[in-house]
Amino acid sequence: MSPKSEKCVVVIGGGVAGMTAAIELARAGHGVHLVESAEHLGGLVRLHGAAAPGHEAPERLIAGLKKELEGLKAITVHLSSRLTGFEGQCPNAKATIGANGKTAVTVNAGAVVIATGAQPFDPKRLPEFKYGRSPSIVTTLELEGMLKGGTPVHPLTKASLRRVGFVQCVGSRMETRGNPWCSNVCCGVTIKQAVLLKQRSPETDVLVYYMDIRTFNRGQEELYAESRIMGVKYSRGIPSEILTRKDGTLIVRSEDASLGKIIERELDLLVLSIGLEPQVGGAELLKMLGQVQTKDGFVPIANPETRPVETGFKGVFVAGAADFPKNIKDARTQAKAAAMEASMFLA
Amino acid sequence: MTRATVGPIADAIGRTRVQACLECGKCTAICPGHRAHEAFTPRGLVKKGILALTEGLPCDRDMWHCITCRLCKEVCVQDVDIPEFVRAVRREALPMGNRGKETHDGIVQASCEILQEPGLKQGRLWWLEGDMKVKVDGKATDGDNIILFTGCAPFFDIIFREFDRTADIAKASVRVLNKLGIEPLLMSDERCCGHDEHWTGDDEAFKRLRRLNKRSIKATGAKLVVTPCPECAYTLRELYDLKGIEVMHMSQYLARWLMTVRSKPILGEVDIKALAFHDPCRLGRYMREFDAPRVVLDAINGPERKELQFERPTARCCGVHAWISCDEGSRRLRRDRLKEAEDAGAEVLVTACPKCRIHFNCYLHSQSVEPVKVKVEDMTVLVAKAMGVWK
Repeated sequence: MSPKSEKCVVVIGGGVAGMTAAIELARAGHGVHLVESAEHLGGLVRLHGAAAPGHEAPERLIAGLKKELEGLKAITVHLSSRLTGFEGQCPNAKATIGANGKTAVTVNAGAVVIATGAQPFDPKRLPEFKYGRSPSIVTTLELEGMLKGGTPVHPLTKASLRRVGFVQCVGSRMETRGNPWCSNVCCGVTIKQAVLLKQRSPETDVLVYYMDIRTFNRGQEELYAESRIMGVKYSRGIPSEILTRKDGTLIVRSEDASLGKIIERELDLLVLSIGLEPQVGGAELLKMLGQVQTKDGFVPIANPETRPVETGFKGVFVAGAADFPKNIKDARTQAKAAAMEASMFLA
Repeated sequence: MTRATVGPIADAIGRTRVQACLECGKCTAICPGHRAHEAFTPRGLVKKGILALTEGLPCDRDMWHCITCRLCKEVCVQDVDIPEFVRAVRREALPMGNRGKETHDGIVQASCEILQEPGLKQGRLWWLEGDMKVKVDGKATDGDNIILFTGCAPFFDIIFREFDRTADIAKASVRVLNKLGIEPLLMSDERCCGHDEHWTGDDEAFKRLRRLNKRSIKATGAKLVVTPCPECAYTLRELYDLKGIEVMHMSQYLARWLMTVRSKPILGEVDIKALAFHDPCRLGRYMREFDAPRVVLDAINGPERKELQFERPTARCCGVHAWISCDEGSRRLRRDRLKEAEDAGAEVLVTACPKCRIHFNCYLHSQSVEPVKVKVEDMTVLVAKAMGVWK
């Protein structure tokens, strides 16, 4: 299929949302420049190792999307690249794509889809969780990597895990030091990981420290209930003191708010369920596209109900976690909608 | 349900963000007051605020166990200012005769009451030694002049001398400043800064002390106040409104001096293998000063500086504030902190707060719960020793 016009669509971000938007646009007959800052396509999903029961494994999902992309000649993929310049207004804008060590290329940008995603919260910003001070304290993303290789073992001792704890809302729902929003996906990620840990190693004791468990996606509440039946323990209360010991064990102190009692637990792995926040380079990109900076740093939406994938800037659309953290299904649905809108904009 | 929709506590609920609490319990899990006295829980207090069950709050006796150390505010996800809420409740409790249980038969509180008398003649400079260069009740002659605000150390020395010669900290401050070529101004009419009165809810006493101190400070014409006490530093800087007069803790003054010395400066040497620094709550969590004392200690040759398990903003507490609610429970907190230093491999636990040193030394003196081998020292005294000016 050859491009209908000289006006291509520039898709910024090669995660599942960007890949999906690019595929849909190419299918609709548009030329696409897919710009990805990393060396690989796949974004945050690429860092995930395992799927909840009934869901597509991240690796397979990305491989499938890649295969589709490769079959579409209208898509030019720019890896290790960034949007370095943007002039004019869509549909007659010119976008410059710069790559490390390569000459920048300028392309016609008939429309733009921002699919830059979100970035994980750095738990070092919350010193009480002591991230980086013990190999036994990891993030949910790191546990994803461990789940890729089968049954996770202790990062230091390589022994099987006896007691694992998850801390919810790390960096989310915070007035200071973190972000005020609920990051949307972390409860689901934790429940999935807890279930997988229990399935692969039933003798592992798993406890989730939480403020509120939020499961509004189809099947998620059912999995949450199932995890309780499987023996995953839930304690309402977030730990605020962690003692690290040389042998790799931790003493984690929290208040169980329903009991009104302090619980001190010895754990050999503490998993911080980190939230998501706007990309570091997001503000710069928005400025380049002529956008006004938003209060929370996410890409703005023209109107959440009436214009859900438009940014308010002519010909610039948004897909995926760039406008707010969301799960794969919602990211891909939004990407298809953004592709549709961009396509109609160019028609 | 009783509802307090108006009045000082309702006002404090709004001011301190009590209603934003998500009830995660982080405050209670980290609270030293709760660790020492189970009946006091910061989340429980806040919950009464959320439900507007405020009428009973001024009768609550457990809230006197709050040490106002701000660990709760440090970890709070909603930035609820629990210590400030406690202060507001205490303000309402005092007129009802609900007071904290005073330690040492209330001698410190009694001294502080005497210090509120305007015409009082004090013998607060008894500790001065012949070779110290100071200007007592002098006027600032040029922009360089600084006031050394000694705080209550000279009084505490008399009360606690069995185990803590607190006046040493005032002496060391003068000697260190002299070594840097500075003749500090001392005020014979310096009063208690009012820190404890403020945090125990006695606003009137605090205002009286502030008025007297402000008058004396302004009379000198100096533009800089230096104090070895973090409580004085915080109170003078944040609660006094000393327009145009800078207030610094000794660690900040010394760290700044070290920065102005061109070659890589050292403060001398001490014969200690390893030390650790205990962040006092007012210097750390209140004034956000975590680096200055470490910069100063690292400029002393000899000891290796270890970090404690709980340091900087999450530093555990010395266990007592405002000379109330001290018992076996609070002694356990001190044991835990000293043990932390021992576990970190430190011979000496250095603090930069006279009160921290008294509380730790009190534990070491009585060894009431469990013996600990660590010694405790004040930063300024250690600097004086390193500089070779300690006598």
